Amino acid sequence: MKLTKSEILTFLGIRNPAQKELSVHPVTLRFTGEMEHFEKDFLDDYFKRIIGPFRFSLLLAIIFYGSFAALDAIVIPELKYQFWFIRFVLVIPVILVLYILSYSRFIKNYLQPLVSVAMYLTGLGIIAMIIYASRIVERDTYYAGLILILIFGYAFTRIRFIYATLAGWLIVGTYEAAAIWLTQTPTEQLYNNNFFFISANIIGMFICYLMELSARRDYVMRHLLEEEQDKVKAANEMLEHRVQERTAQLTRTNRALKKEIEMRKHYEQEQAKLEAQLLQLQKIETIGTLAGGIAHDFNNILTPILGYTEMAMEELDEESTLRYDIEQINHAAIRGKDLVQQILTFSRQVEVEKKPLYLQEVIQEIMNLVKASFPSNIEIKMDLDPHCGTVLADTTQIHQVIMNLCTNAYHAMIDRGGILHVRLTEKEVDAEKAAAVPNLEKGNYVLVTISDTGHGMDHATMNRIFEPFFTKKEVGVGSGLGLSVVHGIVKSYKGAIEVESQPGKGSTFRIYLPRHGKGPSDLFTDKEVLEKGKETILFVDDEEEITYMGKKMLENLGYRVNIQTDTRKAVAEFEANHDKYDLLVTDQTMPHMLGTDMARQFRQIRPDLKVIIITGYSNSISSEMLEKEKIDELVLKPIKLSEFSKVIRRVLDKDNTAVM
Amino acid sequence: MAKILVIDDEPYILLMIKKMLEQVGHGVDLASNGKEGLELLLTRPFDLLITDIVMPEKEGLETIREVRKKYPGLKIIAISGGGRLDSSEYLEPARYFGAEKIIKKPFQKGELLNAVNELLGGE
Repeated sequence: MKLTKSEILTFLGIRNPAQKELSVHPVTLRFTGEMEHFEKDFLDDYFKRIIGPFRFSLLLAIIFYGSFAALDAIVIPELKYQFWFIRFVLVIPVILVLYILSYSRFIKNYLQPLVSVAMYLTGLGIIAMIIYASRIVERDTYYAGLILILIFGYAFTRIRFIYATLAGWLIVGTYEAAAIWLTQTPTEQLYNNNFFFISANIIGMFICYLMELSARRDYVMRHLLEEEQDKVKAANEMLEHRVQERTAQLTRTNRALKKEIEMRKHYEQEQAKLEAQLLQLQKIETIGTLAGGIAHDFNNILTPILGYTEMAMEELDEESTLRYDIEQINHAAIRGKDLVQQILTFSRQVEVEKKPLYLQEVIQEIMNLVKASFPSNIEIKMDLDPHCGTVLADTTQIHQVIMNLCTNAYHAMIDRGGILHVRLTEKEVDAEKAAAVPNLEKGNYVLVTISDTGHGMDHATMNRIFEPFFTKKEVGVGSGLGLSVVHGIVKSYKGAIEVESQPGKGSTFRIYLPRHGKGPSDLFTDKEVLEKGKETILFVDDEEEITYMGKKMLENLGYRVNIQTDTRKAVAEFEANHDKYDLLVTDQTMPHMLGTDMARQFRQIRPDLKVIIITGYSNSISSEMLEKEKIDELVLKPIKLSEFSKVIRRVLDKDNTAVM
Repeated sequence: MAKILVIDDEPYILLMIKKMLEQVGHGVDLASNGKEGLELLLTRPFDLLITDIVMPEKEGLETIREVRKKYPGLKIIAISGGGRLDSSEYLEPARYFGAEKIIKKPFQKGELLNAVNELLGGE
C-alpha cells in the first residue's frame, strides 16, 4: 500500500488543492516528515475532543448490548441465563469500568488500546454466545451481532484507525477459529458469514480511516490557522510598535520643528529690525533725494518771483492796484517757500507709524508733487476709486513706494515721453491669482497700479530689479536702492508686487496691499458750522475706522481725544486717568460690554462724567434705559459732523447738577 | 561802488540779483558756473563773490575752496535752493570752505542787500 498523501486525499474527495497537503503515514496515519512534530500535540488535542462523544458511545454500547438480552429470551430461551451472564456479568461491567476510568487523569495514554481491548471483548462475548448456540440450533444467527460491533467500534467509539483495525481483525480471526474448531458450522454458512464480516470490517476501516484523517486534517488546518493568526498578531504588534515609534519620532520632529519655527521667527524679527534700520537710511536717501530735488527746483523758481515782485512793489505807488496785485503774487511766493520747507520737513519724518490710510488721499497728494516735477512730454493719468478701503500703512513709506515707482517711470520715458497711469482699486485675490504672484495670499487687497509706456525691461532685468544696488540707470541717477526699498516696505505690509514688462512697451507695477477697512463711509458728512471746544473726550467704538475719523474730526474742532477700540482697554484707560476726561462718547453695541454698562461703571468713579451714546439702531436702546442710566444724549449713525459738534457742546455746557 | 561777481546756473536768478545790486550802485558781472566764474576772476579784480552751490561743470563748494585759496581777500556769499534734506545742507559746508555769509533761496531783497552791505561796509 504505497499511496501518496495527496493521492489518498484526492481519492477520498477531501483534498482541497488550496489546502496544505497532509504528511501522514498511510497505514498508522501518524504525522510524518515535516509534520511529525504535530503528533503528540494532535493526540492530546484529539483526546480532548473525543472524550465526550467517546463516553456517550460507551453508554450507547451498554444499552445496545443489554437490550439484546430480550432477543436471547425469544430466540434461545434455553440458554438465556448463560447469555445474560455473558452480557451483564462479563462484558457490560468491563465497558462500565472503562466508562468510569475515562474520568481518570491517567487514562489518556492508554485509552485507545483499552477501547481496542473492550471492542475485542464485546466481540468475544458474541463469539461465546455463537459457540453455545451452535450446540442447540442449526443455524447461526448471532453472527450479525459481530457486524454490529464492528460498525459500532469503527464508527462510534472514535477509536483510532490502527487500534480499531487490530480489534476488528482479531474478532474476525477469533470467530474463524471458533467456527472451525469449536462448532460444526456448515461450510456454506462459514463462507456466508466471512463475506459479511470482511466486508463490514473493510467498510468500517474506511469509515475509521476517513474520520481519523479528517480529524488530523482539521487539526493541521486549525494549527496553521493559529499560526497565521499568530503571524497576523505579531505583524499587528510590530505595526503598533512601529506606529508608536513613528509617533514618538513625529513628536520629536514636531518639537524640533517648533523650535526651528521659533528660531526663525526670532531671526525674522531681527531681520525686520535690521531692515527697518536699513529702510530708515534708505528713506533718508531716497525721499531726501526726491523731495530735495523738487525743493531745489522750486526754490530756484520762487527766488526770481519773490525778488522781482519785491522790486516791482518798490517802484509802484502804495495806492496802485497793480502794486496790490503784485503783492498777492509776492505773498503766494512766500507761501510756496513755506510749502517747500514743509515738504523737506516731511521727508525727514523717519518714524514708521502704521495707521489706517485712505490711499486715494495719499496718492492724490503724491501725484500733485509728481505732476509738478514731470516734464510736459509725459502725460499723467489717474483713476482712483473713491470707495477704496483703507490699508494699514505709514504715509511716508507709501510716499516712498509710489514716488520711487513714479521716478522709475519718469526715467523710462524721459527720452521719448509717454503716459504715466496710476490706478487705485480694490481687488479680491483668489487662490489661483495668489499662486501666480510671489508672496501673495488669498484675500482682499487694495491694488495700486503704476504703468508707463517707457522703454520696458527684458526678463533678466525684471528678475533682478528688487535686488539692492541693481540699477539700469546711469551712474548718479538714483541710488540703486529704490526698488529694493519698495519691495521691503510692501513686504512689511504683507503685500506683494507684481511686475509686467516688455522691452519697448513699458512696464506695469502692481502693488497689492492688504485691505484693512472699508471705503469711506458717510459717517461724518456735511460742512456746516462746527462748534468747537477744548475738553478731553474718551471715544470708544469697536470699529477702528470710526474711532480714527472721530478722532480726526474732533481734534479739528479743538478737543483732545483718546480713542479706544477695545472696551477692556477703555475701562483700564479710564480707571487710570479718570480725572482727565470730561466726556465719554461710546458706541452702544460692542464686544464684552454695552455702552450703557460702561457709562454706569465710569460714573461710579466719576459721577459728573458726561456720556454720549452712539448707535446704529434707535431701537437698540430704550428711552427708559436712557433715563435710568442718565445718558446725556443719544446720537444715531450716520453722524452729521455739525450736529455732532453741537451735541457735544450742548452736553459739555450742561449744568452738572442737572445730570446728577 | 564795489565790483561783484555773481555765479548761478539759473539765468533768471542771475539777472534778478544783477538788477538788485545795480539798483544800489554796484558793478555786477555774471557767470553761469564755477568754471566761468574762475575764468572771469582771472581777467579783473572783484570785491565780492556771490555763488550758487548746485551747478553743472564746477559746483559751488569746489569753487569757493579754489577762490579762497587763490584770492584770500575776496569776500564770498553762498546762496542755495537746498540740498537733499534742507536748504542749508550745502550752505553749512560752504561756510566751512570759507564763505562769509550764506543765504537760503528764495530770499528777499533785503536779506541779500544786508549781507552785501555787511561784507563791504568796512571798505
